[in-house]
Amino acid sequence: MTALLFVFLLAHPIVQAPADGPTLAQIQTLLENGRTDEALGEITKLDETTKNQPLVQHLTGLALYQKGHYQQAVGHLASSFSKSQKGAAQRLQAAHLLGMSNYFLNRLPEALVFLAEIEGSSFDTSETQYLRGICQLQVHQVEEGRKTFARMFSLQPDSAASHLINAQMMIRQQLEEFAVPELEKALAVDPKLPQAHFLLGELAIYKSDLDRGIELLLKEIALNPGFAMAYYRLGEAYTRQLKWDEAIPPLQKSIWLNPFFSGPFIVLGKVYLKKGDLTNAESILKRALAMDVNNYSGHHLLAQVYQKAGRQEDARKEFQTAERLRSDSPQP
Amino acid sequence: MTRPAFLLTAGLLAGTYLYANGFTVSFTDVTKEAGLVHPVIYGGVDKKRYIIETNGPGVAFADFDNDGWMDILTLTGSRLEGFPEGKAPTNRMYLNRQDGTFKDVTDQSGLNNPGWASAVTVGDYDNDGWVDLFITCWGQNRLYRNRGKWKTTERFFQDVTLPAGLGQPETRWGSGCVFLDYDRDGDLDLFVANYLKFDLKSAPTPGKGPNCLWKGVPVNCGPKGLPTDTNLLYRNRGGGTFEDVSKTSGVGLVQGKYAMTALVTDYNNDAWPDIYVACDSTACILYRNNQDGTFTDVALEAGAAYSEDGQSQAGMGVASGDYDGDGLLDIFKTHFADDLPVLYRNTGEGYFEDASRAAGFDHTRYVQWGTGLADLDNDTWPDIFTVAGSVYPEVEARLKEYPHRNPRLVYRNLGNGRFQDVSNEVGPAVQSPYSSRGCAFADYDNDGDIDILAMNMNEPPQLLRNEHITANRPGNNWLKLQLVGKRSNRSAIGARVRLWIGERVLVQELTSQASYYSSNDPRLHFGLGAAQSIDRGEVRWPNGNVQVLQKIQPNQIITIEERGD
Repeated sequence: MTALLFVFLLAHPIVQAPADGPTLAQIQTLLENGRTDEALGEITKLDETTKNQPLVQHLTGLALYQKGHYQQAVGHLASSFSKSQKGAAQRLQAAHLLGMSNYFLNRLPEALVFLAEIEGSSFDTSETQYLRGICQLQVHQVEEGRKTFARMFSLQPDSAASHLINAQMMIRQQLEEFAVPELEKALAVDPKLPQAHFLLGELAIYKSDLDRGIELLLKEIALNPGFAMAYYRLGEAYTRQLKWDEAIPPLQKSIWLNPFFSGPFIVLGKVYLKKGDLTNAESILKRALAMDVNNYSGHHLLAQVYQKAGRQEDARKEFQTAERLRSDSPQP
Repeated sequence: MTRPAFLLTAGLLAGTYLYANGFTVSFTDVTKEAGLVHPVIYGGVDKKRYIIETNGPGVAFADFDNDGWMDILTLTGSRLEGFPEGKAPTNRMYLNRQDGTFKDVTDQSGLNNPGWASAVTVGDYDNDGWVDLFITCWGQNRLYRNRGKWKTTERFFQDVTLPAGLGQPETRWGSGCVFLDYDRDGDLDLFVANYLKFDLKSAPTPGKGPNCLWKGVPVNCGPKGLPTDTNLLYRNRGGGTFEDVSKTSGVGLVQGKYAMTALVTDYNNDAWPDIYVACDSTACILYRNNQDGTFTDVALEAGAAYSEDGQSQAGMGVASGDYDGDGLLDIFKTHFADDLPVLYRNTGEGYFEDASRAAGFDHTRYVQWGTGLADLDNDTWPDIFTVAGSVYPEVEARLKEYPHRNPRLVYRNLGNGRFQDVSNEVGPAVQSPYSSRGCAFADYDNDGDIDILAMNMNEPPQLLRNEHITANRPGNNWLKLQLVGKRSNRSAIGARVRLWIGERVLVQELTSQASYYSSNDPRLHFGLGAAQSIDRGEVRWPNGNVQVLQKIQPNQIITIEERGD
C-alpha cells in the first residue's frame, strides 16, 4: 500500500502552494519518502492556524493513512476533501484515501461515495475499481457492480462474461443469493459459457442440493472437459453423499489435469481415510502437504489417519501442526 | 415412588401406535393454557446493535418444590435503553400445578434480578435435599440457594453469591455453566464458561468495523474481532462456599475460545466427569478430567474440536446421548446458518468421529441453538429436536432466505445410524416460527413422553406437549428414573444408567446443563419400545460405585437412592 501511495504522490503532486513555504514542502517530501513519523512530528510543530489549513489537514490525513490509522485519517481527509475544489488533485487524492480508509474500516457505503468520486479520474486504478465493485455488491447495487467489473475486465456490461465475473465476485463476498440469478442471466445470454454451470453447481452444493449440484457440474464438464476444478468439486460432492468409490475417478482426473493444486489430493486422502485404506490415505495426504505445507485441513486429516492406525504420537504432532496453522484462532 | 393414576391406562395398553410415517409423535402448543404468558425480553426486536442482545438465554425444568412434578424457570435479558424503575423484566419461575398448568411464583421466588442472564444449571450444591440454581449473566453471575420454604410465604430462593465466594470484581460475560462433582468428593462443584470480553463503551456498532457485515447487511459485530475470555472452575469446599481453582485445575489456562454451552460427560468411560464446551467460531473444548483435580483440553486429539475437515464451527447448543446404540455417549452440537450440525460418534477409543453426514445431516439455512437427544417416541432410539433463530433481525428485510424466526427441527432416529427430518410431520406447532435460543426437555405432565419448552426472543416461551402418549393412545413403553445420591452428590449429577433389553443396551448420564444454556428434567427418561420388562439395569453413581437394578417394570417413575453401604 505504501508503494502505491508513492506512485500517487509522485504522479499527482499536490499543486496547491504551501502557505508556510518550506515547512509544508518538507512534510510532503518526508511523506513521499515514507518517513511518516517524522512528517507527523513536523506537523505537530505547526501552529494551530496552520494545522487547520486544508493542505495540512490533507498531509496529516495522508500520514495517518500511511500508518494504518484509518479512523483518525478520515477526519483530516474529510476536511481536505470538503474544502478542495471539485476536480482538483487534492480533492481526488483525498477522495481516494477516504474511499480506501472507509473500506478498511468496513464502512462500505461511505467508502462507495468517495470511490465513486474518483471514477474515471487518474486516481481510479484497478484496485479502486475492484474496491468500488465490492462495495457496490455489498450494498446490493448488483447492476452497478457488474458495470464496474465489466470496465475493470474490459468486457461489455451486458455480456455473458460480465454476468459471470459479477457472480464470481459475489461468491467471493459470500453473496451467494445474488450470484444465482446473475449466473442464470449469464447462461441466458450464452448457454455454453464456460464456468457458469460450475459456479451454479458449487452454489447448489453449498445449499445442500447435492443432486442438482452434481448435475450442473456434469454439464460443466461436458462443455469444458479440461476444467480441473469441476472434477474436484464433483468428487467432493460425491464425498458429501458418502459415495466414496464414485468420488475417486473425478478427483483423480482433477489431479491429472492439474497436479499443482492440493485440493483434490486432500479430498482424495479423506476418501481413502473413510474407506479405511490408511496406506493410500497417508500417501496422498503427504503428497498434498508437500505442495501445500500450510494446509491445516490436510494436517488434520493426516492426524486422523495416524490416529486410526494407532500411531498416537504422530497423530498428536499432526493435530498440533494443524492447530498452529489455523489463522482464525482469535487472540485472548 | 408414586405413579400418577392416569398413567395406569397407558401402562396397561402399552404397545406401539404407528402414524403414517411410523413416527408416533406430534406436538401441541399448550403455552397459553399452561399459563406461560410473559415474554422473555432480550435486546431489540427488529434491530440488534450489539452482540449482547443476540445470544439469548436458556430455560430450565426442575422440581424446585420436591412435589414430583417439573417446574419451569425462564431467564431474562434486558434492553439497551433500559427500563423505568420497577419495570425491568426478570427471571420467571412457574410451579407445576400438576394439572397441565403452571403458577407464576416469580414475585416470591427471590429470583427477581434484572439484567442480561445467559445460562442456568440446577443442582443441590449443599446436599440439603432442595435443588439450587446458578445463573450466568453479563455482569455478576448468581448462586441462588433453595430455602425449601415452599409451603410458606417466605422467599423460595436466597442469593448467596457473595457469601459463597462467587463474586466477581469485574464485568464478565458468563455463558455456559454446569454443576459437577469433578473431584468425586460428594458435593457439587461448578464450572463456568465465559463467552467473550464485552464492553458497551468500546464495542463497535453495526456495520462499523470488521465482522459487522453479513451478506452485505450491516449487523451487530462479533464474536470475531472481540477479545476472548477464559473459563472458571470453582471447587465446593463444603459449608456453602466455593474456591476458585481455575488456574490450578488447568481450566482457566485454555485461551482463545468463545465458550458457550457446557456439558458434563464421561466421554472416555473412566468414571470421572469430563467437560465438553461448545465454542463459537473457535475450536471446542473437551476438558479431560485427569482424576487429580486437574483438567487437560484434549478436544483436538479427541476429534471434538472441529469438523472432520478441521474447520472451526460456530458451536452453540450441545447434547449427549447414545444415538447408535453402541453403549457409548455421543455428542450432537448445533451451529450457525449455512453450516451443518455435528454429530460426534464416540468410538470408545478415547476419540470421536464426525458422523454428521453419515447420519444424514447437511447444511441448513437456520442458526441452530438449543437441542436435545431425546427419545421422543419411546422407541429406544434417541431422536433430535433443535430450535433455531437468526441473530440478525435486520437481514430478512433484504434477504428473504434468512428469516429471523424459524420453525423447529425434528429428526427421527431410524435406528441404523441415520436420522430422518420429520419436522413437517409432527404437527403445526413445530412449524410456528420463532427466534429461539434455549430449550429444555422434560415430561412436565408425567404421562411418559418427553415434552419441550423453548425460549423465544421477545415472545413468551413455547411449551410443546408431546402427544406420543395420550389418554386414548398408549404409545411405546418407557421408564423414568429419579436418582438420589447419598454418598455421591444428592442430585446424582454425573451418574450413568445402563439398561439392558434383549440385545439392546440403553445408556444415559445425568447432567445439569445441555441444549443451549438450559437444564433438562433430571429424571432420566428411557423409551423402551415394546419391551414389557427390563432384563437388567445398573447405576454408576458419580463416585464410581455401581448399583444393580432388579425387577424393573416399564411405564413408571422410579426413585433410586444410592446405597449407603
